[in-house]
Amino acid sequence: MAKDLLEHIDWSQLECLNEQGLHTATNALKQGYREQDELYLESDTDEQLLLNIRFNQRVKLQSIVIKAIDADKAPKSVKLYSNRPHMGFSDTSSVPCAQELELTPAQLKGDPIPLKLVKFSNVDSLSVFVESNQGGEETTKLCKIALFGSSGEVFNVAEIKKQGEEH
Amino acid sequence: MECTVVCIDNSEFSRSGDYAPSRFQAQADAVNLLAGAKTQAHPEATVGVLTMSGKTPRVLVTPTPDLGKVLNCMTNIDIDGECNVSSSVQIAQLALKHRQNKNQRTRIVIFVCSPVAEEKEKLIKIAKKLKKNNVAVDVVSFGAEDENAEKLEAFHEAVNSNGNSHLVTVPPGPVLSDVLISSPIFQGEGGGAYGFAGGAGGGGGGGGGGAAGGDGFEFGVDPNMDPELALAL
Repeated sequence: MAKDLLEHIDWSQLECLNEQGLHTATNALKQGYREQDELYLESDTDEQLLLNIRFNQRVKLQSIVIKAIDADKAPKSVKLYSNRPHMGFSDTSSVPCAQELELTPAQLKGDPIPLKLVKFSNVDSLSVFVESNQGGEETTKLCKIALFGSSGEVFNVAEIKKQGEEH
Repeated sequence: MECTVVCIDNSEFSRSGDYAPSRFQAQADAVNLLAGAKTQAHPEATVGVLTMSGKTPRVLVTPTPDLGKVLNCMTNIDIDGECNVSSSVQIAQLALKHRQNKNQRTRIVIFVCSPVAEEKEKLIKIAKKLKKNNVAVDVVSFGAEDENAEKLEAFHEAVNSNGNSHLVTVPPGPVLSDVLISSPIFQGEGGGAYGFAGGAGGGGGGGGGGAAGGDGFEFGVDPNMDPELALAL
Protein backbone atom coordinates (compact mmCIF):
# COMPACT_ATOMS: atom_id res chain seq x y z
CA MET A 1 0.00 0.00 0.00
CA ALA A 2 1.71 3.16 -1.17
CA LYS A 3 1.93 6.16 1.10
CA ASP A 4 3.10 9.68 0.47
CA LEU A 5 6.82 9.83 1.17
CA LEU A 6 6.69 13.52 2.05
CA GLU A 7 7.81 13.00 5.65
CA HIS A 8 10.89 11.11 4.52
CA ILE A 9 12.32 13.86 2.38
CA ASP A 10 15.43 15.44 3.89
CA TRP A 11 14.68 19.10 3.25
CA SER A 12 18.10 20.32 4.31
CA GLN A 13 19.69 18.41 1.43
CA LEU A 14 17.14 19.29 -1.22
CA GLU A 15 18.83 20.73 -4.28
CA CYS A 16 17.43 21.83 -7.60
CA LEU A 17 19.74 22.95 -10.38
CA ASN A 18 18.61 25.64 -12.81
CA GLU A 19 15.55 26.71 -10.81
CA GLN A 20 14.45 30.32 -10.72
CA GLY A 21 14.97 32.16 -7.45
CA LEU A 22 11.28 32.80 -6.92
CA HIS A 23 9.99 29.54 -8.31
CA THR A 24 11.84 26.86 -6.45
CA ALA A 25 11.52 23.14 -5.88
CA THR A 26 9.87 23.64 -2.48
CA ASN A 27 6.86 25.05 -4.32
CA ALA A 28 6.45 21.71 -6.04
CA LEU A 29 7.30 19.39 -3.18
CA LYS A 30 6.21 20.81 0.15
CA GLN A 31 2.84 20.10 1.61
CA GLY A 32 0.47 22.98 1.08
CA TYR A 33 2.72 24.60 -1.51
CA ARG A 34 2.35 21.75 -3.96
CA GLU A 35 -1.44 21.87 -3.77
CA GLN A 36 -1.45 25.48 -4.96
CA ASP A 37 -1.19 25.72 -8.71
CA GLU A 38 -0.01 29.32 -8.50
CA LEU A 39 3.09 28.17 -6.62
CA TYR A 40 5.25 26.41 -9.14
CA LEU A 41 8.77 25.36 -9.97
CA GLU A 42 10.19 26.99 -13.08
CA SER A 43 13.52 26.51 -14.79
CA ASP A 44 15.88 29.41 -15.33
CA THR A 45 18.46 29.63 -18.08
CA ASP A 46 16.96 26.88 -20.23
CA GLU A 47 14.25 24.22 -20.14
CA GLN A 48 16.11 21.62 -18.10
CA LEU A 49 15.87 20.95 -14.39
CA LEU A 50 17.75 18.62 -12.14
CA LEU A 51 16.21 17.90 -8.77
CA ASN A 52 18.25 15.99 -6.17
CA ILE A 53 16.05 14.63 -3.38
CA ARG A 54 17.58 12.93 -0.35
CA PHE A 55 15.54 10.78 1.98
CA ASN A 56 16.13 10.44 5.68
CA GLN A 57 15.98 6.68 5.36
CA ARG A 58 15.92 4.03 2.66
CA VAL A 59 12.54 3.92 0.91
CA LYS A 60 10.84 1.92 -1.82
CA LEU A 61 9.35 4.05 -4.55
CA GLN A 62 6.20 2.83 -6.21
CA SER A 63 4.84 5.77 -8.12
CA ILE A 64 5.42 9.42 -8.89
CA VAL A 65 2.98 12.24 -9.54
CA ILE A 66 4.05 15.19 -11.69
CA LYS A 67 1.44 17.85 -12.19
CA ALA A 68 1.70 20.83 -14.51
CA ILE A 69 -1.01 23.20 -15.64
CA ASP A 70 0.85 25.10 -18.37
CA ALA A 71 0.54 22.62 -21.24
CA ASP A 72 3.44 23.85 -23.38
CA LYS A 73 5.86 24.38 -20.55
CA ALA A 74 5.00 21.10 -18.88
CA PRO A 75 7.78 18.51 -18.65
CA LYS A 76 7.97 15.90 -21.39
CA SER A 77 11.06 13.74 -21.10
CA VAL A 78 11.92 12.95 -17.49
CA LYS A 79 14.73 10.67 -16.37
CA LEU A 80 14.93 9.25 -12.87
CA TYR A 81 18.20 8.29 -11.25
CA SER A 82 18.44 6.32 -8.05
CA ASN A 83 21.15 6.68 -5.40
CA ARG A 84 23.32 9.20 -7.19
CA PRO A 85 23.55 12.08 -4.75
CA HIS A 86 24.67 15.50 -6.02
CA MET A 87 24.06 14.80 -9.69
CA GLY A 88 25.00 17.53 -12.12
CA PHE A 89 23.78 18.15 -15.65
CA SER A 90 27.01 16.79 -17.08
CA ASP A 91 26.42 13.48 -15.26
CA THR A 92 23.10 12.90 -16.99
CA SER A 93 24.78 11.89 -20.23
CA SER A 94 27.18 9.44 -18.61
CA VAL A 95 25.19 7.91 -15.75
CA PRO A 96 22.57 5.30 -16.71
CA CYS A 97 19.09 6.28 -15.61
CA ALA A 98 16.88 3.97 -13.58
CA GLN A 99 13.78 4.86 -15.52
CA GLU A 100 12.84 7.19 -18.32
CA LEU A 101 9.38 8.74 -18.61
CA GLU A 102 7.71 10.42 -21.55
CA LEU A 103 4.90 12.34 -19.89
CA THR A 104 1.51 12.50 -21.58
CA PRO A 105 -1.01 15.28 -20.95
CA ALA A 106 -3.13 12.76 -19.03
CA GLN A 107 -0.27 11.97 -16.67
CA LEU A 108 0.41 15.67 -16.18
CA LYS A 109 -3.03 16.12 -14.64
CA GLY A 110 -1.75 14.43 -11.53
CA ASP A 111 -2.30 10.71 -12.02
CA PRO A 112 0.29 8.54 -10.30
CA ILE A 113 2.76 7.06 -12.73
CA PRO A 114 3.89 3.59 -11.66
CA LEU A 115 7.64 3.00 -11.38
CA LYS A 116 9.75 -0.11 -11.88
CA LEU A 117 9.74 -1.53 -8.38
CA VAL A 118 12.97 -3.41 -8.88
CA LYS A 119 14.93 -0.27 -9.68
CA PHE A 120 13.57 1.73 -6.79
CA SER A 121 13.48 -0.78 -3.98
CA ASN A 122 16.18 0.73 -1.82
CA VAL A 123 16.36 4.43 -2.52
CA ASP A 124 18.38 6.87 -0.47
CA SER A 125 18.61 9.62 -3.06
CA LEU A 126 16.43 10.29 -6.09
CA SER A 127 17.39 12.58 -8.95
CA VAL A 128 14.70 13.85 -11.27
CA PHE A 129 16.08 15.19 -14.55
CA VAL A 130 13.60 17.10 -16.68
CA GLU A 131 15.19 17.02 -20.09
CA SER A 132 12.58 18.70 -22.28
CA ASN A 133 9.11 20.18 -22.19
CA GLN A 134 5.96 19.56 -24.21
CA GLY A 135 6.03 22.64 -26.37
CA GLY A 136 9.77 23.16 -26.79
CA GLU A 137 9.47 26.30 -24.68
CA GLU A 138 12.40 28.15 -23.16
CA THR A 139 11.43 27.30 -19.62
CA THR A 140 9.69 24.38 -17.98
CA LYS A 141 7.02 24.82 -15.31
CA LEU A 142 5.50 22.30 -12.98
CA CYS A 143 3.38 22.77 -9.87
CA LYS A 144 3.56 19.46 -8.05
CA ILE A 145 5.83 16.50 -7.58
CA ALA A 146 4.75 13.78 -5.16
CA LEU A 147 6.40 10.47 -4.42
CA PHE A 148 4.59 7.39 -3.23
CA GLY A 149 5.96 4.19 -1.83
CA SER A 150 6.80 2.60 1.44
CA SER A 151 9.43 2.96 4.06
CA GLY A 152 10.91 0.29 6.26
CA GLU A 153 9.77 -0.43 9.81
CA VAL A 154 10.76 2.65 11.72
CA PHE A 155 11.08 2.97 15.44
CA ASN A 156 8.96 6.03 16.10
CA VAL A 157 10.26 7.46 19.35
CA ALA A 158 7.36 9.91 19.66
CA GLU A 159 4.95 7.04 19.92
CA ILE A 160 6.87 5.43 22.76
CA LYS A 161 6.75 8.66 24.72
CA LYS A 162 2.99 8.91 24.28
CA GLN A 163 2.43 5.49 25.71
CA GLY A 164 4.64 6.32 28.67
CA GLU A 165 2.54 9.37 29.48
CA GLU A 166 -0.66 7.40 29.48
CA HIS A 167 0.41 5.49 32.53
CA MET B 1 30.53 26.24 3.23
CA GLU B 2 32.16 26.76 -0.11
CA CYS B 3 34.62 25.43 -2.60
CA THR B 4 36.21 28.44 -4.30
CA VAL B 5 38.46 28.53 -7.32
CA VAL B 6 40.33 31.81 -7.72
CA CYS B 7 41.30 32.78 -11.27
CA ILE B 8 44.35 35.01 -11.45
CA ASP B 9 45.15 37.46 -14.21
CA ASN B 10 48.88 36.96 -14.75
CA SER B 11 48.97 38.58 -18.17
CA GLU B 12 51.59 41.11 -19.28
CA PHE B 13 49.06 43.82 -18.38
CA SER B 14 49.48 42.93 -14.75
CA ARG B 15 53.01 44.33 -14.73
CA SER B 16 51.54 47.83 -14.72
CA GLY B 17 52.29 49.92 -11.66
CA ASP B 18 49.02 51.85 -11.46
CA TYR B 19 48.06 49.74 -8.47
CA ALA B 20 50.90 49.72 -5.97
CA PRO B 21 53.37 48.03 -6.24
CA SER B 22 52.10 46.37 -9.45
CA ARG B 23 48.71 45.07 -10.55
CA PHE B 24 49.98 41.56 -10.12
CA GLN B 25 51.31 42.07 -6.61
CA ALA B 26 48.17 43.89 -5.47
CA GLN B 27 46.22 40.97 -6.83
CA ALA B 28 48.41 38.44 -5.05
CA ASP B 29 47.91 40.23 -1.72
CA ALA B 30 44.17 40.26 -2.24
CA VAL B 31 44.11 36.56 -3.11
CA ASN B 32 46.12 35.68 -0.01
CA LEU B 33 43.70 37.60 2.19
CA LEU B 34 40.70 36.11 0.43
CA ALA B 35 41.98 32.56 0.80
CA GLY B 36 42.68 33.22 4.47
CA ALA B 37 39.22 34.62 5.03
CA LYS B 38 37.47 31.74 3.34
CA THR B 39 39.43 29.01 5.11
CA GLN B 40 38.96 30.73 8.46
CA ALA B 41 35.24 31.14 7.99
CA HIS B 42 34.66 27.43 7.80
CA PRO B 43 37.03 24.55 8.62
CA GLU B 44 35.96 22.54 5.60
CA ALA B 45 36.00 25.38 3.09
CA THR B 46 38.44 24.82 0.24
CA VAL B 47 40.22 27.22 -2.07
CA GLY B 48 41.96 26.49 -5.36
CA VAL B 49 44.06 28.71 -7.62
CA LEU B 50 44.22 28.87 -11.39
CA THR B 51 46.23 31.19 -13.66
CA MET B 52 44.44 32.54 -16.70
CA SER B 53 47.35 33.64 -18.90
CA GLY B 54 50.25 31.88 -20.51
CA LYS B 55 50.11 29.03 -23.03
CA THR B 56 47.04 27.55 -21.35
CA PRO B 57 45.22 28.28 -18.13
CA ARG B 58 46.65 26.10 -15.39
CA VAL B 59 45.37 24.92 -12.08
CA LEU B 60 48.18 25.61 -9.64
CA VAL B 61 46.39 24.35 -6.55
CA THR B 62 43.36 22.07 -6.59
CA PRO B 63 40.78 23.15 -4.01
CA THR B 64 42.30 22.56 -0.58
CA PRO B 65 41.57 23.65 2.98
CA ASP B 66 45.31 24.13 3.44
CA LEU B 67 46.00 27.87 3.36
CA GLY B 68 49.73 27.23 3.29
CA LYS B 69 49.51 25.58 -0.13
CA VAL B 70 47.66 28.55 -1.55
CA LEU B 71 50.07 31.12 -0.11
CA ASN B 72 52.99 29.07 -1.37
CA CYS B 73 51.81 28.80 -4.94
CA MET B 74 51.19 32.55 -5.16
CA THR B 75 54.92 33.14 -4.90
CA ASN B 76 55.70 30.97 -7.92
CA ILE B 77 53.54 32.56 -10.58
CA ASP B 78 55.07 33.92 -13.77
CA ILE B 79 53.68 36.87 -15.67
CA ASP B 80 53.16 35.88 -19.27
CA GLY B 81 50.87 36.31 -22.25
CA GLU B 82 47.21 37.23 -22.35
CA CYS B 83 44.23 35.94 -20.44
CA ASN B 84 41.85 33.39 -21.85
CA VAL B 85 38.77 33.94 -19.74
CA SER B 86 36.50 31.39 -21.38
CA SER B 87 38.93 28.48 -21.11
CA SER B 88 39.82 29.49 -17.58
CA VAL B 89 36.21 29.46 -16.49
CA GLN B 90 35.64 26.08 -18.10
CA ILE B 91 38.66 24.64 -16.33
CA ALA B 92 37.57 26.21 -13.06
CA GLN B 93 34.17 24.59 -13.49
CA LEU B 94 35.82 21.21 -14.01
CA ALA B 95 37.93 21.67 -10.90
CA LEU B 96 34.77 22.46 -8.95
CA LYS B 97 32.97 19.48 -10.40
CA HIS B 98 35.67 17.18 -9.09
CA ARG B 99 35.68 18.60 -5.59
CA GLN B 100 35.93 16.00 -2.87
CA ASN B 101 33.10 17.31 -0.74
CA LYS B 102 29.98 17.47 -2.88
CA ASN B 103 28.10 19.26 -0.11
CA GLN B 104 30.09 22.45 -0.68
CA ARG B 105 28.60 25.33 -2.60
CA THR B 106 30.66 26.27 -5.63
CA ARG B 107 32.15 29.65 -6.41
CA ILE B 108 34.62 31.12 -8.86
CA VAL B 109 36.41 34.40 -8.11
CA ILE B 110 37.90 36.05 -11.17
CA PHE B 111 40.43 38.88 -11.06
CA VAL B 112 40.56 40.87 -14.29
CA CYS B 113 43.14 43.56 -15.00
CA SER B 114 43.46 43.26 -18.75
CA PRO B 115 41.02 43.79 -21.62
CA VAL B 116 38.72 40.81 -21.97
CA ALA B 117 39.08 39.35 -25.45
CA GLU B 118 35.81 37.42 -25.51
CA GLU B 119 32.67 38.93 -27.00
CA LYS B 120 29.83 39.94 -24.70
CA GLU B 121 27.53 37.26 -26.16
CA LYS B 122 30.08 34.55 -25.47
CA LEU B 123 30.50 35.75 -21.90
CA ILE B 124 26.75 35.72 -21.37
CA LYS B 125 26.56 32.17 -22.69
CA ILE B 126 29.29 31.10 -20.29
CA ALA B 127 27.53 32.88 -17.44
CA LYS B 128 24.27 31.08 -18.14
CA LYS B 129 25.98 27.72 -18.05
CA LEU B 130 27.52 28.59 -14.70
CA LYS B 131 24.19 29.76 -13.34
CA LYS B 132 22.53 26.58 -14.57
CA ASN B 133 25.04 24.56 -12.57
CA ASN B 134 24.62 26.68 -9.43
CA VAL B 135 28.11 28.17 -9.58
CA ALA B 136 28.34 31.66 -8.11
CA VAL B 137 30.91 34.03 -9.62
CA ASP B 138 32.60 37.05 -8.09
CA VAL B 139 34.49 39.34 -10.47
CA VAL B 140 37.10 41.87 -9.39
CA SER B 141 37.71 44.35 -12.18
CA PHE B 142 40.70 46.67 -11.88
CA GLY B 143 43.19 48.15 -14.30
CA ALA B 144 40.99 47.92 -17.39
CA GLU B 145 37.69 48.78 -15.71
CA ASP B 146 36.33 51.11 -18.39
CA GLU B 147 37.00 48.83 -21.33
CA ASN B 148 35.61 45.81 -19.61
CA ALA B 149 32.70 47.47 -17.81
CA GLU B 150 29.99 46.61 -20.31
CA LYS B 151 31.12 43.01 -20.82
CA LEU B 152 31.61 42.28 -17.14
CA GLU B 153 28.32 43.88 -16.17
CA ALA B 154 26.51 41.72 -18.72
CA PHE B 155 28.37 38.69 -17.42
CA HIS B 156 27.47 39.50 -13.83
CA GLU B 157 23.82 40.02 -14.65
CA ALA B 158 23.63 36.68 -16.44
CA VAL B 159 25.36 34.66 -13.74
CA ASN B 160 23.81 36.29 -10.69
CA SER B 161 21.14 34.25 -8.96
CA ASN B 162 19.49 35.95 -5.98
CA GLY B 163 22.51 38.06 -5.22
CA ASN B 164 25.00 35.24 -4.84
CA SER B 165 27.44 36.76 -7.33
CA HIS B 166 29.18 40.12 -7.19
CA LEU B 167 31.04 42.46 -9.49
CA VAL B 168 33.46 44.81 -7.76
CA THR B 169 35.20 47.48 -9.78
CA VAL B 170 38.26 49.04 -8.17
CA PRO B 171 39.63 52.31 -9.57
CA PRO B 172 43.33 53.08 -9.21
CA GLY B 173 44.20 54.84 -6.00
CA PRO B 174 43.08 52.97 -2.89
CA VAL B 175 44.76 49.73 -1.95
CA LEU B 176 43.07 46.84 -3.79
CA SER B 177 42.94 44.58 -0.73
CA ASP B 178 41.36 47.26 1.45
CA VAL B 179 38.58 47.90 -1.02
CA LEU B 180 37.92 44.19 -1.32
CA ILE B 181 37.83 43.56 2.41
CA SER B 182 34.86 45.88 2.72
CA SER B 183 33.16 44.55 -0.40
CA PRO B 184 30.54 41.79 -0.60
CA ILE B 185 33.24 39.43 -1.90
CA PHE B 186 34.83 39.24 1.52
CA GLN B 187 31.62 39.61 3.43
CA GLY B 188 30.78 36.08 2.42
CA GLU B 189 27.72 33.99 3.07
CA GLY B 190 25.15 35.54 5.36
CA GLY B 191 26.94 38.83 5.43
CA GLY B 192 29.23 37.84 8.27
CA ALA B 193 32.44 39.86 8.33
CA TYR B 194 35.49 37.64 8.46
CA GLY B 195 36.69 39.23 11.66
CA PHE B 196 38.62 42.00 9.94
CA ALA B 197 38.53 45.17 12.00
CA GLY B 198 38.26 47.10 8.77
CA GLY B 199 35.02 45.50 7.66
CA ALA B 200 32.52 48.26 6.99
CA GLY B 201 29.44 47.80 9.13
CA GLY B 202 30.96 44.54 10.35
CA GLY B 203 28.61 41.58 10.33
CA GLY B 204 25.84 43.45 8.60
CA GLY B 205 24.50 42.50 5.18
CA GLY B 206 26.87 42.43 2.28
CA GLY B 207 25.98 45.88 0.97
CA GLY B 208 29.60 46.93 1.60
CA GLY B 209 31.27 47.97 -1.65
CA GLY B 210 33.17 51.13 -2.14
CA ALA B 211 34.21 52.43 1.26
CA ALA B 212 37.87 52.68 0.49
CA GLY B 213 40.32 51.73 3.19
CA GLY B 214 39.29 50.15 6.47
CA ASP B 215 36.85 52.11 8.58
CA GLY B 216 38.73 50.65 11.53
CA PHE B 217 36.78 50.32 14.73
CA GLU B 218 37.97 52.28 17.71
CA PHE B 219 40.71 50.33 19.46
CA GLY B 220 40.74 47.91 16.52
CA VAL B 221 38.19 45.56 18.03
CA ASP B 222 35.08 44.56 16.09
CA PRO B 223 32.13 44.90 18.52
CA ASN B 224 30.26 42.09 16.79
CA MET B 225 33.08 39.65 17.31
CA ASP B 226 33.87 40.55 20.90
CA PRO B 227 31.24 42.83 22.45
CA GLU B 228 32.54 42.52 26.00
CA LEU B 229 36.04 43.55 25.08
CA ALA B 230 34.77 46.43 22.96
CA LEU B 231 32.64 47.71 25.85
CA ALA B 232 35.48 47.41 28.29
CA LEU B 233 37.81 49.52 26.17
